[in-house]
Amino acid sequence: MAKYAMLIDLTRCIGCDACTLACKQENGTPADVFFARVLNAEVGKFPNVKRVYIPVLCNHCDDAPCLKGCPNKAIFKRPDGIVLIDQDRCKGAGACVSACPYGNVYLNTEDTWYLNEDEAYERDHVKPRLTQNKARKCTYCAHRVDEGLDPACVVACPTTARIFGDLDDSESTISRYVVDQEQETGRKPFHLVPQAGTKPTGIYLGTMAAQQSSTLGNSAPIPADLTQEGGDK
Amino acid sequence: MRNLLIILAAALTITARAQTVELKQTQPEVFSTTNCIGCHGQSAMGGLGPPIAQTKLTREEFLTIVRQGKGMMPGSPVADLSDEKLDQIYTQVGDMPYVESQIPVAFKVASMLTTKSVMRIFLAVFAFAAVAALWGIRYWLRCAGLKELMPHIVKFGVLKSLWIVMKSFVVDGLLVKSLWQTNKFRWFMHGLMLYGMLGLLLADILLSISNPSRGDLDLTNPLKILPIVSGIALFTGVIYVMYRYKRDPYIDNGLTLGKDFLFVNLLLHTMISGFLTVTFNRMGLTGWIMTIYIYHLASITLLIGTAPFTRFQHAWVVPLMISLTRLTEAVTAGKVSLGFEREPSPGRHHKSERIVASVFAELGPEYSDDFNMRYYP
Repeated sequence: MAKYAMLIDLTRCIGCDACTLACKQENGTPADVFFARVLNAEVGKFPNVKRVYIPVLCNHCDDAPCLKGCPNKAIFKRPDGIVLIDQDRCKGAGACVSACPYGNVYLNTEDTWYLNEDEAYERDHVKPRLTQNKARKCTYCAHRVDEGLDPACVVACPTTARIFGDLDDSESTISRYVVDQEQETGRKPFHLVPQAGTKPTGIYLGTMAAQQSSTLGNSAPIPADLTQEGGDK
Repeated sequence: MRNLLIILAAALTITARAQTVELKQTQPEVFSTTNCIGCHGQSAMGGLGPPIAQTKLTREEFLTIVRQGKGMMPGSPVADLSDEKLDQIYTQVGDMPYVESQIPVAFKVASMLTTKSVMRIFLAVFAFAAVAALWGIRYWLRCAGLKELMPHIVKFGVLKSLWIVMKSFVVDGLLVKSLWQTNKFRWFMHGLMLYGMLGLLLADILLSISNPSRGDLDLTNPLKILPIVSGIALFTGVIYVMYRYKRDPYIDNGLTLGKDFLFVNLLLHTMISGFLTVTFNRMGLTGWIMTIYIYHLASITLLIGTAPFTRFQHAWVVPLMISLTRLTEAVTAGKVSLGFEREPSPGRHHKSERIVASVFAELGPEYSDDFNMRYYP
C-alpha cells in the first residue's frame, strides 16, 4: 500500500500563492478557509533581512492528534495515509481544531461565500459537500489522487516546489528527490514542529544560501555571480 | 435450582483442587451432604470460605454463625438444618484434620480482599491512572500550543480565560452541546453513559462515607437506588455503543480501533459482572458471589488502569480540547494582541508562529527567533 507524502522545497518556493488559489479553486472553500496557505516570515535587521515563504497544508500525520481527539470518530486515516474528515459524521464539537499542532483544521459557525446564490459553481459543486459548522481540512486532493492525478496545489506550483508521491516506492519522484538532495546539496528533510510528536507526512527541505541550479534538475553551469564567492565580491 | 447451583459450585471447587487433595476413605456423613462444602470444601479446609476443620469455635459460637450467617455466608434456618444435624457437623468438623497445604488458593485470594486491601489496590490504580493521564495531557497541550498562546492569554486576562474554560467544560463537556445541537438521540444515549458513570462514581463516594463496611442496604434506600439506576443507564448506553460498533461500517478510523474496543469491552465486562454480583447476592447464590465479585473488581481495575491509553481518555481530552478552542476564539475576539476579530481556524496565529520558529531552527543560526509574520493570504 502506498504511503503518500508531500515534499516542499523551501528553496524553490517564491511565495506566489498559486497553490493557495489552486486549492481554493479545486476545493471551493468558503472565504477565510485556506487548506493550503503560505506563511510569510521576515527575519533579520536592515540591511541584512530575509524573507522566507513557508507553504503550509495539512500534514496528514501518521499519528494524527485531530483523529485521536475527535469524539465522533469523524476523522479517519485511509490505508494510504490520507487523513480525511467525514462531513456526515462531524458534529462540529471543535476538539480537532485545538488538537492540530499546525492550525490546519477549519471550523466556521457561519460560511461566507464568494459567488452569488444562483451561480452554479458554488451552488452545485461546493455547497452540497461543505456544510457550515463542520470541521474541514486539506484532503491531499484525495479525489484527484484516486484518479491518479497530483493534488491541485502541486500541479499549480510554477517552480515545482511541491512534490507529491509515494514514500514507500523508492523509485517515485519524491523518494528519489529526497535521496538526491541529501547527496547533492546536503539538505536533510525535516518535519514541521517535531516536538508535537505527530509523525507528519509533510516533509520540508530547507533554503540554500547560494542557489545551485544544477541541483534543481538543470545541468547548466552555475553563473559566477550566483555562487557564494561571486556574491561576496 | 439454588441447591443445584451450589452443588455445581462445590463440584467446581473440588475439581479445581483435585490434583492436590487426596480424599479420605472415610467421609464424614452429614457434613459432606450439606451445602457447607460448597464454600468450606469437602475436607473442611476451605474454598471460597475459610477452613473450619479443627474449629476453635465453641458450640454456641458455631451455632450462632450457622443460624445467622457471617459476612458472605448466609444463615441456615432450622428447616434446612436441624439442631441435631448441626451438632453432628460441629463434632465431625472438629475431628477433621487441619492440613495447611490443603487450603485452596481461592480462599487465600478471597481472604486478601478485605475492604482495606481492596481500597489500597484501587487507590494505587487510581494514582497510576491519574499520573499517566496528566502525563498524556502534556501531549495534548503541546499540540494545542498552550505555551505559545500564553502571552496572549496573559494580555487577555487569566481569570477571564479560566472562566471561559470552566464554562466550556460545563456546556461543551458535561452538557455535550455539539451533540444536543446535531443529534438528540445520540445525545441521549451518550448522556446515559456519561451521567450513569457519574452517578456510579457519586454513589461509590457516598457509600464509602456512610456505609464503609458495605453492609446490606434495603433496595428502597437512596444509596441503593442511585447506583442501580445509574448502572442500568450506563449498561443500556454501553449495549447501544456495542451495537453501533458492530453495525457501523466506518467505525475503524485506521488508528484507534483496538483502543476503542478495549474501552467498550472492559466497560461491558465491568457492568455485567457488577449486575451479576448484585443478582447473585439477592438470589442467595453464595458460592458464586465471590468469584464474580473478584471478576468485577478485576474489570474495574483494568478499566481504570488502562483509561489513559484507551478511548476512556476522551472523557477528559475532548472537553479540554474544546475548551481550548473556545478560549482561543475568545482571545482572538478580544483583540488584545491580534488585528482581526476571528479566525477560521482558532489558534492559527500562534501555531503559525510556532511553525516558522521550527523551520528557522532547522535552517540555521542566521535565522533568529526574532521574526515578523505577515498575515496573508
